[in-house]
Amino acid sequence: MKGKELLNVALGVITSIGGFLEVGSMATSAAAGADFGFRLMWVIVFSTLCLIFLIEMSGRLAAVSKRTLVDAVRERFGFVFTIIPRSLELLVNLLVLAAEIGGVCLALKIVTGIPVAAWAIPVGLLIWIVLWLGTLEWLENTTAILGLMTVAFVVAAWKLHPDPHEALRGLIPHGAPHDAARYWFIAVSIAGSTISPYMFTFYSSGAVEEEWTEESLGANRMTAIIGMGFGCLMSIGVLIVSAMIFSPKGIHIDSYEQLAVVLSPALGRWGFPLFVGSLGVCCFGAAIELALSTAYILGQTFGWNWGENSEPRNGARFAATYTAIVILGALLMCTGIDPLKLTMFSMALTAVILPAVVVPFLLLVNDEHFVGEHRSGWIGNTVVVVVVLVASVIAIVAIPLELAGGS
Amino acid sequence: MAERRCRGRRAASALVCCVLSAVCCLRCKQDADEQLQKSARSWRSSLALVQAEEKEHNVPAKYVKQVGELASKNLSKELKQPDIKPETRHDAEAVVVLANEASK
Repeated sequence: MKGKELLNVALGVITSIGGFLEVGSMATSAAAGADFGFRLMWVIVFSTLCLIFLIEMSGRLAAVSKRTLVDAVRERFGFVFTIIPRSLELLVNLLVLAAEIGGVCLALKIVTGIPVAAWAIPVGLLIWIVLWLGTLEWLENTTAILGLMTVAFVVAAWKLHPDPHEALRGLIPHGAPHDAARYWFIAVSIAGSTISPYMFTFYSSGAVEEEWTEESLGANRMTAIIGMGFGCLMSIGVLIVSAMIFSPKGIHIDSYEQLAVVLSPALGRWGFPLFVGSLGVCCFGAAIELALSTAYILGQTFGWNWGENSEPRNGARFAATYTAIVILGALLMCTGIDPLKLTMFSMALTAVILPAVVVPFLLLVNDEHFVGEHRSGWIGNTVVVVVVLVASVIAIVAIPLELAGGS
Repeated sequence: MAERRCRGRRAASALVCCVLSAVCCLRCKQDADEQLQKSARSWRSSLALVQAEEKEHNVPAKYVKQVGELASKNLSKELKQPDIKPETRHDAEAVVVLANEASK
């Protein structure tokens, strides 16, 4: 591998690590640790394994066929069929974007004491300005490098000296020790926050914008495996810290504000600013990716000019779409909706829609017309199908139970 | 063709039955008293944790105030529910007092 390729891989890995944590993975991992100790760690690992396959597949599809995921689905299954998964994705994207804007507002609220609703419009405006002025590469790299501060969770987990046997036991799948509905609801929320459809839509669009070729396949595979693998460590770090600080004290996470103290016992004075910084930066980065992903989806579904690297005047409808979704997301947060409940619900809903988004995608990456000789292997196909279907079925059962306050 | 359709329907019915039985097995509404006990314990511990970290100068006083306000708001809302035992109510009210002190 040449120097330039290595640099690209390193950048890709940093982007994946720095961009892995966002409001959903932070909230779901923290809730899992507080309520069930290390017992839900296996869900993070299985979901990440599935995500690695999906990210690698979306990069491979883009590099070989020179088409984005949305383009390829439209070409293979027709416009009418494309509308179904894309509409579901748009709905979930809006909810998750609102939750991410809520995450940034919460970070600001924790520091200033000014309510979330008051921050929603200024934060939305800042996201829009960055989208309007930035290029894809600049946006990806800046937010990801700043997002590296989430390594603080892994450092804190290390400093708290968790029992390795107990932690390893958490990697083995098992049923609920108590509160079955809550256990499975958090499990599917973790799956939804990890296997977010916007991530592979964004990734494949980015690959086409950056003009990947078949020579990029090695770098694509390494980015997916190393980047997502290390990113998963961040989520595990959040779960371990939460399990060690909150679980023994019987603290149940009812609001993000309770979470802000989680790093302080391990990192002292650095803990609080690192938590607030991580929350703000990660949610800001994820909000940008979500807004862009939504614009990519609409642009590619309807055949508009699209691309973050081109001037907004050359892709007016693309720019109008991210503007509209940012406004809607900010307005949703202005209504006073509870950001934590919105996050958990939208993550579980993501798990419900996964089969509709992933199954057509799987058919494409096994179709010679699109990927030639680079079809997926049976291991990847099986892991993705099993994880996605199981997560979706459990989500269909767990969401009504959680809404009914079941146990 | 008809046989395949029939098999498909049977599989779909089996899936629906599994989902419904899981819902029936798990569906058990948590009573308000138990929920309030858990909330009171959780908020008491949360307040103790943030106050301990404030003493070490690891978190700002403004943050402790926010947690106090949240604890007071959430518990006061839960205290309005019927079917709460007197001892649970007494315990939760004591945490609300602590929370109000923290939020000052």
